[in-house]
This record gives sequence, C-alpha cells and structure tokens, in this order.
Amino acid sequence: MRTRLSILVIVLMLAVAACSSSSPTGAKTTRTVTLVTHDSFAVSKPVLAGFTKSTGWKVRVLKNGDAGAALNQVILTKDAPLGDVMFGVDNTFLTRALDQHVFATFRARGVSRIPSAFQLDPSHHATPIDFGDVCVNADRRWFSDHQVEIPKTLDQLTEPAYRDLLVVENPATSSTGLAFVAATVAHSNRGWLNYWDRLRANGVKIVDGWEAAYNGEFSGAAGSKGTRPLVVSYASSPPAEVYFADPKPTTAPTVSLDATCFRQVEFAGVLRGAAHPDGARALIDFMLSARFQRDLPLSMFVDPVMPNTPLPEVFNKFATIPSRPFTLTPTQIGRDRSRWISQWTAHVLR
Amino acid sequence: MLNVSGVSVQYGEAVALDRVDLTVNRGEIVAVLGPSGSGKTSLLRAIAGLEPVTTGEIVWDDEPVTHLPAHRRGFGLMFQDHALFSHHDVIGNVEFGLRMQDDRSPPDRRSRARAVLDLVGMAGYDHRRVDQLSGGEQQRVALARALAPSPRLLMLDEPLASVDRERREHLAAELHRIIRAAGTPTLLVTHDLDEAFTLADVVVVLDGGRVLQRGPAPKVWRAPNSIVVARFLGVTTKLRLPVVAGSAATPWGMVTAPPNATTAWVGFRAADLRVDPDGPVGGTVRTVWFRRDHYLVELDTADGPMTVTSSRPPAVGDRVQVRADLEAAVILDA
Amino acid sequence: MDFAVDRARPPLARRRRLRGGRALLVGVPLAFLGVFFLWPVVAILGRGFTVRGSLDLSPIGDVLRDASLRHVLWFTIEQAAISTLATLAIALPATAVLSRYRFRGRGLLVAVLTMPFVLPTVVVATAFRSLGVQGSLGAIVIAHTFFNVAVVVRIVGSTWRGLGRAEEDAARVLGASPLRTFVTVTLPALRPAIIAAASIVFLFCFTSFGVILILGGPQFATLETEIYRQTAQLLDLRTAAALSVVQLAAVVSALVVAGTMTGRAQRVSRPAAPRRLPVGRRARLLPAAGVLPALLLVAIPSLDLLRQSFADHAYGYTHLGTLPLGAPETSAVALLNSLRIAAVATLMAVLLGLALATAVTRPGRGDRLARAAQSLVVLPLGVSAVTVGFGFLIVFDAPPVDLRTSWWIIPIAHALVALPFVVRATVTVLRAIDPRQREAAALLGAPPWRVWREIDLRSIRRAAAVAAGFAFAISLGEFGATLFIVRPDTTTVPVAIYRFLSRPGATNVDQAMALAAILMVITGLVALVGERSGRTDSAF
Repeated sequence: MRTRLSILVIVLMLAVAACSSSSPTGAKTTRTVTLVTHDSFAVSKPVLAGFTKSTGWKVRVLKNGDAGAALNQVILTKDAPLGDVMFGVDNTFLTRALDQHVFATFRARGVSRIPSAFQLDPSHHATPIDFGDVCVNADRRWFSDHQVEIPKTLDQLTEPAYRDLLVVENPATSSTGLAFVAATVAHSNRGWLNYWDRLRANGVKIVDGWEAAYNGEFSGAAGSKGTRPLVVSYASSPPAEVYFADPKPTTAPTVSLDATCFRQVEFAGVLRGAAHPDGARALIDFMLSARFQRDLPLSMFVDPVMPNTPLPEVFNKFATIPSRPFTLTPTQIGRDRSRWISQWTAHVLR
Repeated sequence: MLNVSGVSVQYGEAVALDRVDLTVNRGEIVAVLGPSGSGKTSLLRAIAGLEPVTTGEIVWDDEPVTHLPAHRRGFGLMFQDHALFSHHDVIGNVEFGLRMQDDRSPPDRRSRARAVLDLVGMAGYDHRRVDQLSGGEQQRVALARALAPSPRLLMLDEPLASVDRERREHLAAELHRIIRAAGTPTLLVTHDLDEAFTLADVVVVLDGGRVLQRGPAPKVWRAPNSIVVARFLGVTTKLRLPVVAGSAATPWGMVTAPPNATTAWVGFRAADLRVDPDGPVGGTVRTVWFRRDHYLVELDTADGPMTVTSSRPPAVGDRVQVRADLEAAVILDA
Repeated sequence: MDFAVDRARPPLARRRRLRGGRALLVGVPLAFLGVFFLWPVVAILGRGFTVRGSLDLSPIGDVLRDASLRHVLWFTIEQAAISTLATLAIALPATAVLSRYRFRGRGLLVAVLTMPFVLPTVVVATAFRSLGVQGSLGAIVIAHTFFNVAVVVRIVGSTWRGLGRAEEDAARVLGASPLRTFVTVTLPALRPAIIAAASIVFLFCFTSFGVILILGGPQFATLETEIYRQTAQLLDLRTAAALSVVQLAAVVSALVVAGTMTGRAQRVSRPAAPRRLPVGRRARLLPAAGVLPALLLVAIPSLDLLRQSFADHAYGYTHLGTLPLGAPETSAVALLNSLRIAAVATLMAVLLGLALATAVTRPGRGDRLARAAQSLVVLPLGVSAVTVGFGFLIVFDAPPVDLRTSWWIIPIAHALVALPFVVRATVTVLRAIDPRQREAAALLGAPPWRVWREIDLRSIRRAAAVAAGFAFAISLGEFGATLFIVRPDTTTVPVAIYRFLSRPGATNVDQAMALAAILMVITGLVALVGERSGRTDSAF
C-alpha cells in the first residue's frame, strides 16, 4: 500500500515536472514576440521558422475564441496587453478596435503596395493582411441532379425555384452570418429587411454557426447528410473541398456564387503598450512578406492582400475571386452592427 | 494511575457529565455502572480523548492529559461493537497499534501480536477475515488489538454486550484472567450488574452524569448509599418502616436503622426473600416468572408488594409464606 | 502528499502543523477556488456594474424588465427541468440494475454509459444531427439526457451499491411488496444521492451551451448563450454581468433547494452483495428492460459516430500525425496536449477534492466553513465559461507571473470543473465510514494524518480512483472553458475537433470524427479501469 501510493505520487510529480518544463515560459534566452489571435489562425511551420531565422524573434502564438472574442479580450486587457501583436481583426470589427485604441500606429514595409480597396484604416493603426469573401455556395451535383439552374444573384434566392434550398448562419452568433447580413444591407440598402422577409417567405433556414450550416445542412459538404444545396460560406470553400479530399477530385463539388459575396479584410496591429514593439513591427512586416502571403491560402484559406502573390494550384483552378463584392465602410458596420442584429433577430427569428 | 477530577462534558445545553471524579489505581479494575443515558460512554470517551472536556482535569500519574489528542494518550479502548478494521485480517487488526509505534520492527510486531492473540485464545486465527468471526471471537480480537500496544490504561465499553448469554459467564472469567495476566489498569463501563460485579475490584455508580456511589465491589453491592442506587443494584422489594429507638421492625425481625433516621427504608433483592412454608409473612401470588434455576414470584402482602424467589412454581392466587435473609437487607434513611 | 513531507519533520513541527490541519484542508481548496474562480468572476462582474467608479446595479433591473430576456430565463429553467426529469427517468432504472446485479459485462456497460459525458458537444451534436435529431426542445432534451445519464449512474450508483439490504429485508418481512419496499425503504435511502445527481444534471442543463446552440438552433436562447453573446460578441459587460448575476442566483437557489431536500445522509447497515441475475428468460426481462432505454440512447449515436470515424477507409485514423491543424500542430500533438493537461488537472482536482472531502466529513470546529466550501465548489458549474475566461484576463495580469497566458491556466480551469465531482464522489464514501473506526485507530496511536491514511484512504481508494477517472475524462472533453482561455500553442482534442469541423472538406471531417471516436474510447477505457479497480474491494 505504502509503496504503491508513493509510486503513484512520484509518477504524478514527474508528470507535473514534465509539463512545467515543456511550458513555453522557459524560452527566455531568445527574444520572443507574442502574437494574440483567434482560433482559426494558422501558418506553416517552415514559414514561421523562416521568420525566426531571419529576424531572431521567436513567435509565441496565443489563441482564443473566434475573431470577436479574441478582439474583445484584447480590448479588455489593453492596460496590460496579453502580447505584442494582434492578428485577426476584420472590417466588421475594425472600428471597435480603433475606437478602443488597442493599436499603436505603424506603417509596415510594403504597405503602400496594398490595393487601396483594402486600406480601410487611413490612420495606419491596423495593417491589412488578407481578405476573404463570404458567398453563397452551391452544391453542383444537386442542381444538375434536379435540373435546376444554379442561382447567380441575391434576388434570385427569393424566387420560388429556390424555395427551401438556402441555409444561413445567425448573425448574432456567427461572423459568417453577420457578413451575409452586411451583404444584404449593401445590396438592398434600406430595404434589406424586406429582402429578408422575402427570404424567410421562401423558406430560408437559420442555424447558429458555420459548422452547423455547412457540415449539417448543406448537401454539398463531403460526407454530409444535409439536404439544402445552398449555404452561406466562403469563396475559398470550393478549393478547400478539393484540397481536403483524398483522393483529390478533378472538379470542385461546390461553387461559390460571385454576385453574392461580402468581402472581409483581416488586419494586424501592434498592440499599444507591447513589451516588444520592435518584434511586433518585424512580425507585421513579415506578414506582408511574399513568403507569408504565399502561405495564407492553404493555411487559413484566405487570399493575400499583396498583389501578384502567386496562388496555389487549387485556388487557381477551383476558386474565383469575385470582381465586385459587396462592401460597406468599417464606420458604417461599426455604427450599425448591433442595430442590424437586433432588427434581424426580431424580424427573422421571432 | 488515572485521576479524573471535576470533569464535565456538555453538548450544547445538555450536560452529559457533571463534575465527575474517578480514580483508577495500578492493577485495579474499575467498573462504571449506570443505566443507558447515564453518561458512562461520555466519560469513557472523555478519558480516551475522543470527547472534549468542558471543565475538569484528567491526569495520568503526574501528567495532565486533558488536552492531549487521543493518539498521544497511550490508552486503549475496546469499543462496544468492537469497531474492528474490516479491511485488515485478524493479525492486521492486532498489529495496527504496533505499527503506529515507530520503534518496532515488523518481526517484533508480529511476535508481539501473536503473543497477545495467544493470550486471548485466538492463536492460529492470524489471517482470518474479521467479519467472518463470531461475536465472541471478534470480542477477543478487539481485546487483543487494544492490549497489543501495551496501553497504560485499558478501557472497555460494555465488553460482553455482544456476546451470547451462554458464553458470557465463561468470557467474563476469561476477560478477568486476561486483564489480570496483562496487569493493565482497566476501566470498564457497563449497564450490566453481572459484568460489573464479576469483573471489577471497584464499582462506580453513575446516573444523570453524576457519580452516585463508589467503592470496592462487595461493599457497594452490600451497602448501596441511596434508594436510586439500591434500585439499580437489583433491590426490588422495599419496605418503609418507622424507627423506634434506633431500630426498625421488619416482619422478620429488627434491623438497625441509620443514625438519626425517623423512617427507615429496608430493601431486599429477590434472591434474599424466599418462599418458605415456615416464613412469617404471607402473601397472595400475583405473577410467576420462570427463571431457569428458580421461579420469580410477585406477591401482594400486608406490607406491600414483594418480589421473591421460589424453587417451585406456585399458582397465581395461591397464598404463600416468605422468609428473608435479614443479613442481606439494604437499610437506608428514608 | 502531506504526510510524505510530514515524516521528515521533527515532532514539534508535526504537532503544530496538525493543529492547523483542518484549516489547511479547507483553506487550500478554498484559496484555489477563491483565486481561480471567485476573484476573476467578481472582477468581471465588477466591470459590468461599475459606472465611472461607482457601483450601479441597475443593469439587473433592466434585464429583468426586458420581456425577451425574461423569456430567455424561463426557457432556461424549463428546458433544464425537463431535461433533468428525462435523465432521471432513463437513468434510474439502468442504475438500479447496474447496482443490484452482477453479471458479465456489467463494467463494460457502466463504461459505455459513462462515455458520453465527456464527449465534446460539437461531436455529439454532429452525431445527433446525422440521426435527424435537431431543431427542437425535444432535441435539446434528448442530447442533455445523452450527456447526463453518466452523472446519475455514477452518483446514484455508488450509493445504491453501498446500500444495506437489512432494511429492505426488514420491510419485506413486515409485509411490504417489492414496490412498496422500494418506495418506503430504498428510495429514502437513495434520496440524498438522487437529489445530488439531479441538482448536478439540472446545473449542467441550465448552463448548457453547445447543445442549445447547435442542436436547439437559433430560435432557442438560454442565459448561457446570451451571456456568451453579450460578452464575447458584443462586449456589453453591463448586460452580461446582469445576466450572470441572474444565472448565478438561479443556480444558487436550485442548489439551496437541493440542499434542503437532501436531508441527512444516512448510514446504512452492511452493504448488500450484488445478486446474480435471475435465471430464466422471463425473469431477466425486467432487468433488461431497465437498462435498455439508457443503452439505446447512448449506443445509437455513439456507434454512429464510430461508424462515421471509419469513413473513407479510416482516413482520419491513418492521418492523425500528418494533417496539420492549422498551426504547426497535428492531431497527434493535440492528443498529447490533452492527455498531459488531463493528468495535471486530475492531480489537482483529486488532491484538492480529497482535502475538502476529508475536512467536510471530519467532525469538529469549522464544520460550517467546510460545508460552505463544499457548496461553493459547485459554483464553477453554474457560471459561464466565458465569464470566468474573461475574468482571468483582467485579474492575472500582475507581474512577475502573467498567469493569463500560462499553460497552467488550462488544467486549473479543468480542475475547477472536475472538483465538484471529486468532492461529491468521495464525500459520500467518507460519510459512510463508521467514525468509531477512526477513533479506534486514533486510540491505537495513529495521528490524524495516519488515521486518514489507514482508515479514510483505505475505504476511499475505489471512489477516489473512479473520481480521478471522471476528472480525467472531464478534462479530456472540456471544451467551453478551454475555448475562452488564452492558449499558447496548446490545442486540446475538443478544440482540434472544433477546428477541423469549422473547415470545409472531407478529410477535415474524417479527422474530427476519428478524434472524437478516440476521445470516446479513451473515456470508456478510463471508466472501465475505474470499474475494474473497484472489483477487489467490493468482493465481499
């Protein structure tokens, strides 16, 4: 009994010791810059190693919740920042970040080469890094099986031919859903709630998040038992369907509808009060470098903001970048976001 | 030597022990006798250190132990229901206290435990499960467990309560022998007269949390100092008699009354009143109880109800005569 | 661990330490709770209720006056109550059979019924959705029942198995029918355990997050989902704080009601040995009928999940180490992270839980404090993970240790969630120990820690092993709190599953399903080992 107990204690002690030694706080010898970001952040290992090699900065990544939650945590801790850089504020949240003064000003190297459409912060606190388009996706097979033409525009979605076919996310709980609401606002302006009335009358289904909509309801997702062939997702979803299939098909099973897209731009910024501002600046510079920009499509399934960045083959083949996506100014989104959500909830859900 | 002086134990408002004094001398067996609820278990627990004392002192030789935790007192206690450790076998139970003593080696413990088991007549039971033992066997193991660490004081809580009647006599004698052989001063609490008077040198009568009487066993038996004690010690027939010139007249003759008494209380145990055709007192039989080697008879007499013994069973309603052993009468100031 | 240190100390130090022993036993868990739970929660609520430096409680009134939020409150209570009753209805018959009979495969059955408890909601929701259960109150209730059968089987089962048969036999002899005996004798003896289990289930359903969001659908909102929305999405700390207070008030009143209904725990006579199953097909029908509903409820989605995990020629399993999670991590890394975190969380929860359970069950001064601590321990289950997570951020920012970003915060959060289970599971057993056993040991010279080791630990080994298994499993499956804590490169399995599921593509789904199945199997094994370890102790 006694020996068994002490063995147990020793083993557990060792486990604790093993854990504490592996905790990353020990890395004090090299300089470490801390990146605060959301759960979807991803970068290839060699790319990150390249940054450390060329600058001497190691990167510690702190992830937390979705884009909204991550930003709110940064705001909450602005007096004692969690890290040095924040990545992952998009245009729907940009004004909140700017109004709360979480970023220090910084002009990243090469920022002038970024197209002006992405330059949403003239004060140079937030640097655009990538963009993505939230678009309605369609299940090609369903439409060919049912001999229905794939819709092209938002207005078509309210037509009887597409009754009970669309599933969208709740804007109150999903950033994808919010982006789609923004698309409808940009499309219908003041009449946007009328548009939703028509969508609702046409049997739109609302679920809470992207995962439930895409994997649960959408018929085009791999292995899905869903029944709806239209879903609000991303322009990068069709290439992802190909990339994440094994073996890879020659045509994408889904297609994104170019005229239904709302553009999301993601920003990074140096946190005000950062312990290592120079590391932070180096990291943002790096995010605009060709190496990082090239890595974006396959690690996070977003598009690089730097023009002329070569895209991977699946993107070239299966993705289209909508030429005229819907946009709204960050100011307008910041001002009206809550109102949209409450009006939408009252109108569409209740 | 254990010296308890002025010990009180209170549970909230309720007083379980009220300024109790008690002494257990070396080599002595002291029985605390009392009905249930008299506070005897509280007294035992207070001495053991399981119950905090409200006031008073407990001293062993010259060492005050009142505030010493139970495990440092060096007292042994045999619980009423034995409280054997069911997760240990017999030898494991007996060795428990020895294991708590850091200076003993395992072989030393084993041999000591075996010796004690031998003493209580349980040699060879080492690896039996305790829950498969009979009541008497469990009691012996409990005793062995209490004795093994050589306690300074042995305490027994109703030691024979869970033993069947046929074996009690035998076990009582055994217990006596074992305690004597171990030479450990012993304090036992019980509500059972037989247990107290067959085992103990000194008897202390406790009721309502107070000591009513204490003294050598034969003396307490012969001369209870109050009516309450007398009743508790088995006096079932009582006569209230006027005292004339220092004496009281019973139907069987004169007895000496306590000094200055105007009325005497004369009591008899059933065994000291016998049905006898030559007896001077007559009565009508009300009930008859069979008591193995004799009959217990309740009578209505001119002097009041009496409980007497008889070797034959009279019929209810019979008239019988009663003889008394005046020597055994308990005489008190009423 | 205490005593290992103790032995090396001189006797004087030992004496002094022991006097403060009880204070230490209550104090350390309380301090843990205070620092890692109460402080952050109070701080974040304080932010919500502070307007320009002064306290302003008006948000609570605003929330209660808001008709739609009142509706949310009622719905929260309604679905939790229905879910609790449904869980008891399904789980109690199964518990009866599992605790009264012994038969081959009993341990396996317990393990199977325990598994769902720790599955991440995303996975369960996926499983139920693919079975067509979603978008209704019924779906919410079924999913809650699926998760919580384990709670009832565990908590009530352990009491039931320890129940003496003498009382039941007495009732039968006095002429009570089996049903009557059950109602008049067995049920009252089980009442504390049933109420304890029911209150935990209620708590879980009351604060359930993923099930409501994913299976219920957007038309259903509970306090928990509202708090999440107000905090994480809108950063409306005022409203969030008010909602948290309302939720906390509801949770506390539920616990108080449960506490008063529980009454005193009864000590029972010698535990009855489990019977063999009755012989004959017809006689076995009843036990089978008792287990079947719970088994089906648990087995169907689980098996479906297993089946899905082997889709595409078991792609998910064969690519565990290769498909990157996004960060330079793979599923294999996430698995290691999870196991390591679970080990530490279990160690913390078991040590703290045992300390508290010991303090609570030892008579003496400080009883009220200990009991208060025991109820306090349940509170983390009643407070939104996002509230605690955000609270961490604003209190642990003091140098030199910035705990906010420390690896340790994750196992600490998991330990907070597991602690009430450890306490519950062990307190019941410790209460059942005859206090005279401890007294006997003390009189034989055992100092308090030795009494604890020789008597308490002996009887609690099994319960502690089971509790440790439970804590381990809870940590493995914990999702909500993990998501809202800042994590430096430590993706746990549920977070990995979540991340795989939030990307399009077949292989992502395959990975998610494989990970979910692995999680399920590990949990089942842990439960099975717990059951087995108890076998030697319960042989008599």
